Amino acid sequence: MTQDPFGGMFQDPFQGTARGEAIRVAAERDRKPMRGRIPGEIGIWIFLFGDMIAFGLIFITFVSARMDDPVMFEQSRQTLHLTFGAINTLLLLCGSLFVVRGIRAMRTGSPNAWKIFALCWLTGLWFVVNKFIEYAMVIDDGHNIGTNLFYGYYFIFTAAHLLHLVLAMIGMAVVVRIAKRPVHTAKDLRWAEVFGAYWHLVDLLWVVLFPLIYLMRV
Amino acid sequence: MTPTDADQLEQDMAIVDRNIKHAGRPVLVVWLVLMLATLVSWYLGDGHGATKFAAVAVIVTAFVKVALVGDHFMELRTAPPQLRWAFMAWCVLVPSILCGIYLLRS
Amino acid sequence: MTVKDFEPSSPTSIEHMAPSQSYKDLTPAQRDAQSMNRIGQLVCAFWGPGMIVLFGIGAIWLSGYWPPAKLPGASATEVLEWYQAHNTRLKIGLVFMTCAYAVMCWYGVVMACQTRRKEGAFPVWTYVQLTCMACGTAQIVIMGAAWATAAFRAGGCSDKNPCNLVPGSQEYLAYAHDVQMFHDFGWMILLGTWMPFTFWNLALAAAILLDKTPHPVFPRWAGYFSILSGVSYMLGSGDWFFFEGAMGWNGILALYWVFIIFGGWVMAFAWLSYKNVQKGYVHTQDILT
Repeated sequence: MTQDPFGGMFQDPFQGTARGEAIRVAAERDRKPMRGRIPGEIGIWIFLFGDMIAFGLIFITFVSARMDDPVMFEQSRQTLHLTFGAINTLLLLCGSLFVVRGIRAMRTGSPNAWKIFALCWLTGLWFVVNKFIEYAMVIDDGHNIGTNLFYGYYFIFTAAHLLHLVLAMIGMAVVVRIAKRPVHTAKDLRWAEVFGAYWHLVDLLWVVLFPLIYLMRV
Repeated sequence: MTPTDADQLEQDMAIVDRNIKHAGRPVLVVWLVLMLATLVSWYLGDGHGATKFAAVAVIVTAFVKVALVGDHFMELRTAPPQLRWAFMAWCVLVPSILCGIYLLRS
Repeated sequence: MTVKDFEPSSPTSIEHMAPSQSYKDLTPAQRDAQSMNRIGQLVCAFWGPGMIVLFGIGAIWLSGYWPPAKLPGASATEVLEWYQAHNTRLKIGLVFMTCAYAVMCWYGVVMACQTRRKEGAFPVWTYVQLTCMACGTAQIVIMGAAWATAAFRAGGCSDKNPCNLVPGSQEYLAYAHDVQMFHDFGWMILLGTWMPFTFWNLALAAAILLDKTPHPVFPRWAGYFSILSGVSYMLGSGDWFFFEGAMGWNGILALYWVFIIFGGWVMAFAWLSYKNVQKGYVHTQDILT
């Protein structure tokens, strides 16, 4: 009934025997429920932690490279457009708020849930537009991915984050479609929580990326 | 349904009810705090404040914000403790390494 | 909030089918009927870790390609000297390494077979997996040939073909430049062409996560893990843009993280496929109609 998360990998040598049956009955009788509830399902958390490790390495790489050549990094940092970065952070935080409220609306059966998720999607869209304007401005100033290591990292790390955001927006679009259904099952709520958790990941990665790249001075 | 599945279900439903209530005012407060912290970081990073202090403050603030997002937005407060501790471990380990690199090599 | 919200979706017809029978419960006739398919899948699953072992012998021990001995910023002369220093050993290592990458096909097929069981007349996700795997194998085998070309020309001075190259002369530098170009070519293929591998992983994830039956072919967490690995390979793109740092071909992000995740993915799915076969999910179809 509840799906074994390990897919039956660990086989029971006593299965099918009388002793096995006795063990099973005793275990069922004494088993306690797991403390706490996993939002979504365990799989999305495996994905989130993996991505957090990858981005953790990215953060460490960037700061380490900054300390290797602080002068060049600071000079290049000065040419960035901080306003865009800050507004983007605020946008994603609003998006996260909308996700939480949207999930609440779905759980309480409100018919407006899909509108809230759509608002979240719009904050993502605004972020993407901002990003392209910002890239255009930086390239217009004459800085490219190959100019120096700072710009190389700037472009490729923010692009990696942008890709994550685009995927999150696709996820949000799916949630909007699910939220529009008149009746929600447990599976629908699970998908909303899964894509919601992924949106929060995209948000929190940017919350760290913005200060590291745009704000940190040496 | 076995007895323990029913217990799990009941506990899960109680947790979801708690999260529904939490998604009201408490989450709004946390969101406001996050927005304000962003503005403060922006101010510090835009050339105000002593360099070393600003840099460390900005990193630490960022990860405090991440911890808040995890706890209140991602519902980790009501998640199994192992999951929450794994997340918090990342929130503590990474800024420690970053500040360490920054302070030791500057 | 009512209990109804938490009820699982209603049971489908396949719940009443016996999806598997463990090998030890089969009659000898049934064992024979299953045996070719069973042996095939077990052999293919074995080549997951087998591929890693072959790679270890070839790339790590014999040739020294992993970790990269010559960084992206090395000069042409350095690269030429490295190839000349252990030329035969390097070439033997390359044979092992190319075997490792070719045998990846065997490994991928067992996962495709398993997902095939869950798809109907037109197994879309299985087809995508197979085509992407074939593409990935083809390109990575060419990488072996590219490095072999560099090694061939670098060790190509002999009595019959005296090169008479004076180190530092124009001809020497041109010679070293040719060798370096093929050396670079191999690295560009290995990390930069992550696309077929990513799509392979994502197709596998789709086959697992979009499954509406109560018994997906692999556990759901494996589907998410496949998405994680597919997305992680994208970091290999740094290899085309960076000459140094963590995104160069010797970097933590572009090389080590990608390889660690790929190795983890191979081992995880080889293990899961093996367990599936042991549980008896060999060739019974298990689809919603």
